[in-house]
Amino acid sequence: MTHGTEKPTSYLRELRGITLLLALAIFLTPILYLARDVKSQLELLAASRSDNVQWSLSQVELEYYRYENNLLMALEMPDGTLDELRRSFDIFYSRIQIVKRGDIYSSIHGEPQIAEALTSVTTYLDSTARLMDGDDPALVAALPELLTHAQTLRAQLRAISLRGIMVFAARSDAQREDISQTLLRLAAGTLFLIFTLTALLLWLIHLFRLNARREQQLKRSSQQTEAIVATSLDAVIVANRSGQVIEFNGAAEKIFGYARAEAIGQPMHELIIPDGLRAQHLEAMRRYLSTGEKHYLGAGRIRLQAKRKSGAVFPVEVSVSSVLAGKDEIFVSYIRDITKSLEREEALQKARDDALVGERAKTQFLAVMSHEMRTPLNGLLGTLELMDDTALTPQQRKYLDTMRVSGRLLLHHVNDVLQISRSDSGSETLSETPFEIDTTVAEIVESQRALAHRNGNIIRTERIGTLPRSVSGDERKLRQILLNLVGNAVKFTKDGAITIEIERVGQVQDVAMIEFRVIDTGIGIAEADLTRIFDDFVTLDTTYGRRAEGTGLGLGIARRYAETMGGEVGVESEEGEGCAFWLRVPLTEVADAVASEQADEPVTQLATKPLDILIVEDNEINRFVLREMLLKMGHRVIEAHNGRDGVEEAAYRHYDVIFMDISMPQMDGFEATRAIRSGSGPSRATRIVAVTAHALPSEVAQFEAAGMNDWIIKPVSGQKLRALFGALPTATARGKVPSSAPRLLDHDALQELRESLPPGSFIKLLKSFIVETDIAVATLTGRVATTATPEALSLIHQTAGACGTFGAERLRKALSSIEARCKGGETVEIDGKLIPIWDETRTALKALLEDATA
Amino acid sequence: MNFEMRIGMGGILKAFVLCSLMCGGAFAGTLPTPQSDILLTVEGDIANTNTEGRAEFDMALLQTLPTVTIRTNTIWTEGVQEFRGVQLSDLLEAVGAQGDMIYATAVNDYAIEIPVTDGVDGGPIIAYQQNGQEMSVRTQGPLWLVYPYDSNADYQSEVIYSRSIWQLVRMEITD
Repeated sequence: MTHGTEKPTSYLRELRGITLLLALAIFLTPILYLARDVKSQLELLAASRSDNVQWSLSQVELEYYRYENNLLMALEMPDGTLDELRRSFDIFYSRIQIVKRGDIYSSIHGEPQIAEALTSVTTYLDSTARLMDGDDPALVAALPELLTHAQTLRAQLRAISLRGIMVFAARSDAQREDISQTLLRLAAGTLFLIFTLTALLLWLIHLFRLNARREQQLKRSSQQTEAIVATSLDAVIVANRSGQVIEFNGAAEKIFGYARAEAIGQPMHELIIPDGLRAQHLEAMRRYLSTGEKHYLGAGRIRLQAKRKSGAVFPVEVSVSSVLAGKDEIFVSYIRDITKSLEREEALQKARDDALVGERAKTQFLAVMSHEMRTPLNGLLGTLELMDDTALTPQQRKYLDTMRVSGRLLLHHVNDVLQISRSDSGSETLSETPFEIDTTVAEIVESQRALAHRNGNIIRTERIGTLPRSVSGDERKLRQILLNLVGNAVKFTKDGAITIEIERVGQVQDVAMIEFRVIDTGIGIAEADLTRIFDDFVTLDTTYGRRAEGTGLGLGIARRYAETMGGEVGVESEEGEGCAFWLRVPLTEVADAVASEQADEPVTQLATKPLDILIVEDNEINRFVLREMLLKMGHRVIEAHNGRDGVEEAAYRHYDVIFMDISMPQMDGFEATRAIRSGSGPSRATRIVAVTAHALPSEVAQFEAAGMNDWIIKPVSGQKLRALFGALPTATARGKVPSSAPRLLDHDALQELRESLPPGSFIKLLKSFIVETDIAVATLTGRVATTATPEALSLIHQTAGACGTFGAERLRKALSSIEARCKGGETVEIDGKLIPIWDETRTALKALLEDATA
Repeated sequence: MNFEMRIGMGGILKAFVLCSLMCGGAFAGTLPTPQSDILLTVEGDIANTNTEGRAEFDMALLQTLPTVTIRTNTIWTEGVQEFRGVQLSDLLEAVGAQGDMIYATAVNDYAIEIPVTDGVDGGPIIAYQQNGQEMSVRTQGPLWLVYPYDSNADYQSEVIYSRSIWQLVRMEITD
C-alpha cells in the first residue's frame, strides 16, 4: 500500500508551515532585538546614573562662593566666624571630592581643562585643609593669602562647571540621538512588521475564506454522504484497519440491534460476526493486512452469516470494499439482511417444487390410469372379437359392432392421454428407423380412404420436386402426426378434396427438411382459434364438436411429436374455405437398400404349422384373450401365471414361441427371459415375444438386452398375432424364405373400387364378397379340382375374379395358380392352404370395413 | 493605617500610648538624652522625644539602635563601598514617627522630601561609617542617607539619587 500521491502534498504542507515559521522568526528577531534595545535604553534613562549633574556642578561654584564669602567675613571680623568658615570649607571640599571621585564625573576627568582645574583646586584644598585643621591664630594669619589664592580658583571652577555642562549636554544629546535612532528603527521595524502582518493577515483571510469554502464543500459533500449512508436501506458499517467500527448507520442499527454509540469503537468482528466464523474472519483479515491477499474484499456480493445483538445468526448479503481515507485504509461494508428474501426464495422454490411434483404426480397418474384402463379394455375388445365368431342373431351382431366401435374409440382416447402424459413426463424418446416416405404416406392415405369416400371426399397425394426415397427417422411418430392431420381433414371435409403435398424445403448435408401439407376444402378454422388449435383438449365450436369425436388431444400430440423430432407443425386457414396444416421435419437420407430390404421382408407370411406356445401372463383376462386367439389360429397353448412358473415350464419342455408379459409380480418378464436364456432347458433358444403396453425405444432396447426377440403391443389382436407369426420363422418356412410372396391386399385395386362406388355400396359389396368367399373357400377346401370338375373350376375362377376386384391379391394368386394348373391338365388337390390365406385376408378386409363404417 | 488611626483615635496621647505598646518599655515616650555633639535632630510629628518636641541623636544614641551594614556602588564614589548605620525604618520607629513625609535637610541647607514609606527593611540606612571610618563633613559625613543601589534597580533613579542626602542634620516628619 503506497501513498505515492500523498507524499508531495504533505511535504508541501510541511514546507509551507516551515516557511511561515521562518518568516515569523525573520520578522520577530529584529523586532525583539529592537525592543530589547529600546528597553535597555529606557532602563538607562530610568537608572539615570547622572543625578542632576549640571546642578551638582553649579553647586560646586555655589559652595565656593559661600566659602569665599565666609573668608571675607572672617577677614573683617575673625571672632565667631571661623566655625562657619571651616564648615563652608568642608562642604566645598566635599563637593570637589565628589567631582574628583564620583563615577558620574569620570567622563569629564579626561577633559584637559577640567583635569588642570581640578588639580589646581585640589592643591589649594589640600594646603588649606592643614590651615583649617590648625589653630585659629594661624588660620586668621593666613586668611588674606587664602582669599587671594581662592579668588584665583574662580576661573578654574567656572571652567569645570561650563566644560562639564558642555560635556554632559553633548553626552545627553548623544544619548537622545541614540534613543531617537533606536526609536526610529523600532518605528521602521514596527511599520515593516505591521506591513508584513497586514500582508500576512490578508493572506490568512484569503486562506480562511478558501478554507471556509472548502469546509463548506466538504461539509456539503459529507452531509450528502451522511445522508446517503443514513438513508441507505442496507446496513453500512465502516471499520478501520484494526477492525474497529468507525461508522454505523441507521439501517445497521435496525438490522443488528446495536445503537450507533454502542457500536462505534468496538471491534467489528465481536459485534456482527457469528462466533463460529470469527476465527476465520480474523485469519482472513490478518492475511490481508500482512500480504494484501483479498478474501471477501471487492468480491462483489457474497452470501454470509451475520450475528445480531441478540446473538441470533441470520443470512446476509455482503459487499466489502477498501477505501483510502487520507492515509488510512478503511473498510466499507454494505450488508443486506436477506432473511426475508431467502424465505421468499425458498417459499417460491418450494411452491415451484410442489407444483412440479404435483405436475409429475398428475402426469404419473394419467399414465398409470390410462395404462390400467388399457388392460381391461384389452380384455373387452379381445372378448368382443371372440364373440364375433360365435353364432349371433343380426340384432346381437349389431350390438356387438356398436360395442366394438365404442371400445376402440375409448382405446384411442386412452392411448392419446397416455401419449400426452408420456410426452410430458419427458420419457418420450426418438427412434431412428429407415423407411420410405412414399410408403408411409400411401399407407396413411389408404387407411383413411374409406372414410374419405364416405364423406364424399377425394383424397390424393402430390409429390413436389424430387424427394428422398428412403430416409431415417422416427417413422412411428411421423405416421401418427400425419394420420392425425389427414384424419382431421377427412373428418371435417364434406364432398371436397384432401390433398397431401410432400416437398423438400431444405437440405443440410444429408438431412432433408421435408414439408408435408395436408390441404382440405372443409369447414376451416376461425382465425381466432388458429393459435390455440395445437393446445391440449381443444375442440372447436359446436359444429366442429358435433362432427368430431375426440379428446382434443390429437393436435397436441402432433405438436409435441413434431417438436420432439426437431420439426414444427402449423396451420393456415380461412373459415369456410378449408385448412392447410403443414408439418416440417428433418429426416436423414439413407441408401435405398436399407429401406427396400425392410420393405421386402415377408411380413405377411403365415405360419402354416401349429406351434407349441407358452403364455406367461399374470392377468387372467389377458391370458384368456391371448389363449383363445392362439387356439383359434390352431396353435397349442400352455399357460403360466407368473414369471417363475414360466421359467419352470420353459425348462421342462420345448416351445416354439413364448409370450412374455413384462410387468408381473415376483418375477417380471425381463428377469424370466434372462433366466430362460441363461438356463439349459429345451426352450432356452426359443423365440420370446414381449407382451407390453407400450414399446418405447428404450424399452425395446431393454427387451433385446434381456434376450427377447420381438414384442407385441397390447391390446393383442388376431391381426397383430398373425403379423407376428408371419415374421416368425416357422418349422416349415425355416431355411427357405419365399423371395416374393404376393401381397395380401392390393390397396390400389381396393381404392379404385371404393372411389368408383358410393360408400354405402362399397361396404355392402365388400361384405357380400367376404360372405361369398367364406363359402367358396369352405366349398373348395378338401376337394380335387380338374378339368373334369367344371363347377369347381368355375367357382375357383369366379372367386379369383372377385378377389381381383376386391384386391385380395394373395388369395387371387393362389386360386389363379390352381386354375392354371387345372387348365394345364393337372389334378390339383385343394388342401387347407387356402384357409389361412383367406383368414388373414378376411381379417384385413374386416379391419378396413370397420374403418369405413367407423 | 495611619489615616484610620488619625480618624479613629486622634490626639497625641492616644498615639503615644499606642506607640508605647508597640515599641515596648525601652523607649517609653522618651528617648535618652544625648551626651555629646548632636548629629541629627528629628522633629515634627513624632511620639518619642528627648528634648522639647524634638529627638536629638549623638553618635552614641544612634549606635544604640540596630546596626545595619550594606555594600553597594554609588554614583558619587569609586568602587564598592561599605556603609554602616541605622535603618531609616528603625529610626522612624524609634522616634515614633506619625507622618507620611520626611523633610530632610543637609548642613549646606540642601533639603529634600522623602516619603516615610521609603523606610523599609532592606531599604535605606542613615550611614555613620564608610569603609569602617566615621565620616567627616569633607567626606559627605557625618550622616549620609544611603540606599542599597545595587540590590534594587528601583534605587537607581534620579529621584532616589536626589533623596540620597549627605551631611544630613535634620529630619522633620510631616503629614
